[in-house]
Amino acid sequence: MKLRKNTGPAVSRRSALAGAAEFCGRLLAAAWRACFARDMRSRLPDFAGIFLRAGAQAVPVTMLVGFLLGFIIAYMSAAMLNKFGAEIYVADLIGLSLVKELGTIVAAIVLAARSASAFAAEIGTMVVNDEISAMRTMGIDPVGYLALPRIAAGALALPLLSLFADLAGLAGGYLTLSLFGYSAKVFLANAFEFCAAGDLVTSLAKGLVFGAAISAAGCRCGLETGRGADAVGKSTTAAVVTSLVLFIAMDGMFALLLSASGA
Amino acid sequence: MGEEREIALETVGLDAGYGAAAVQRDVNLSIARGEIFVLLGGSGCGKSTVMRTMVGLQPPLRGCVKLFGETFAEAGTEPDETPPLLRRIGVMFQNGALFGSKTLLENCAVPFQTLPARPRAEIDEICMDKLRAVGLAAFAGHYPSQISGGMQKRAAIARALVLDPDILFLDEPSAGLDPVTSAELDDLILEIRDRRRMTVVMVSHELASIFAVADRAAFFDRETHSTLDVGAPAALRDSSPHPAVRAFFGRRSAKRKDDT
Repeated sequence: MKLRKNTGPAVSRRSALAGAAEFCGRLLAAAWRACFARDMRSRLPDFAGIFLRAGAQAVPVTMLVGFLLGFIIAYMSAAMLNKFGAEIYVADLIGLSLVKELGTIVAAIVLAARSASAFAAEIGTMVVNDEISAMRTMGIDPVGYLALPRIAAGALALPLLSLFADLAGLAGGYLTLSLFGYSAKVFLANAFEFCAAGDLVTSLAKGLVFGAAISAAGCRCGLETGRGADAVGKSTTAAVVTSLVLFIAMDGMFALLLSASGA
Repeated sequence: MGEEREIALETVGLDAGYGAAAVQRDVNLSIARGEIFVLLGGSGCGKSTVMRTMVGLQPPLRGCVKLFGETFAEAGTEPDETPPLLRRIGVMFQNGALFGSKTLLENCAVPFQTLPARPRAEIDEICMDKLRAVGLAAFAGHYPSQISGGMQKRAAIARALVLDPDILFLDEPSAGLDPVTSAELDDLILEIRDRRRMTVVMVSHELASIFAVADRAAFFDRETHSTLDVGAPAALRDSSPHPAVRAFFGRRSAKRKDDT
């Protein structure tokens, strides 16, 4: 099978893995150059706009999903634990699972579905319209110009979205326990009983990495867009699938690493 | 032009295409400074691919492209530092390829991003000059979606001219335009060439446009993947030894014969 894609000057036939490695290399080089760029301030409006779309505008849907997830998990668990008079442990379960895992996962799914797809569609349309080719003839590296601000915005947005998912999930959990007559004070005291500050820091760090990876997958799929009417659609689908698989695989690796380190 | 003509662009044994498949083989062209040269041929013959190879977007499968005696490989193509060779070319793509999220003025300012810093007012003044030259100064604050297709092409030419390039590449500038707008664009191309003795390399299969502006043209053949003939458009039409070339130019002539 030919994997030839038109991604710019002097690109030859290469495997998908080599393509991903090349993209990462170009990304790191662009990030390094950005550190010493003379006029980063002029790029701030672009970054702010992307951050607004990927982060701030995603808060409602993230909170809705987080709230429903917290409510459903708490309700299902409480129904079982109630038989043993242990429904209060639902607060511990919700607090621990949200802060350690679920808040980040909810936010990552939302970022992949909303933003990775949008990045792929935006950049893919630019490829189809020859805007990327135009950039290259002007000596502008599309990875640095388009992908880097999107990846930075995604990396910053995901930890913040995961905090909102945590809060909404806790609210959902509390709603369930309030049906069993527990007060907010008791719920919160139990919810954070087994949570350490380190868990939150780890969760935020994971969010940073996942946010960068998900956004990078979206941007790369966009830059790899081919020609033809269906090319942008294919890139968008590939962006969502790749970013979901990527962050779940990374989450698995994080779990193994943290387990091995005793965290 | 004779012996002393300065060569702006030269292709030597160039094979252009995608992957291993060459759409044009052994392209040998020599384009002089100040010349308007048209790459022509039927749809799918590879003229746009040859142009993309000339501007460095496609690597040559074989042979090389020399701009002012230098290849892109020799000149270097480090991203985010516009190589001197790229500064000497301006490219207008078929649909304009303007950035939809930027106004015409901002579009024109994009090529300055990789150049040494200049005051914003100076950049805006240069961009306004170019927009004025293409008759779009009044639309500087408009987005591409707010102007017509012909205006988008003129704006794309303004952006391509913003760094005062030595060679201007135009991919089908007249495609999809009405005859009047197309003729206006031809006049603009001639004016640009005459003002700065700029070399213009243009992809086109619009006969009226070719006869209006071209000094010489190369005819690419889809069947043989080769350059069938190079010469002045009238000479190609009247005395090319290749039936495919005469047939390309002869569509209208054949009709006239039928009419008489």
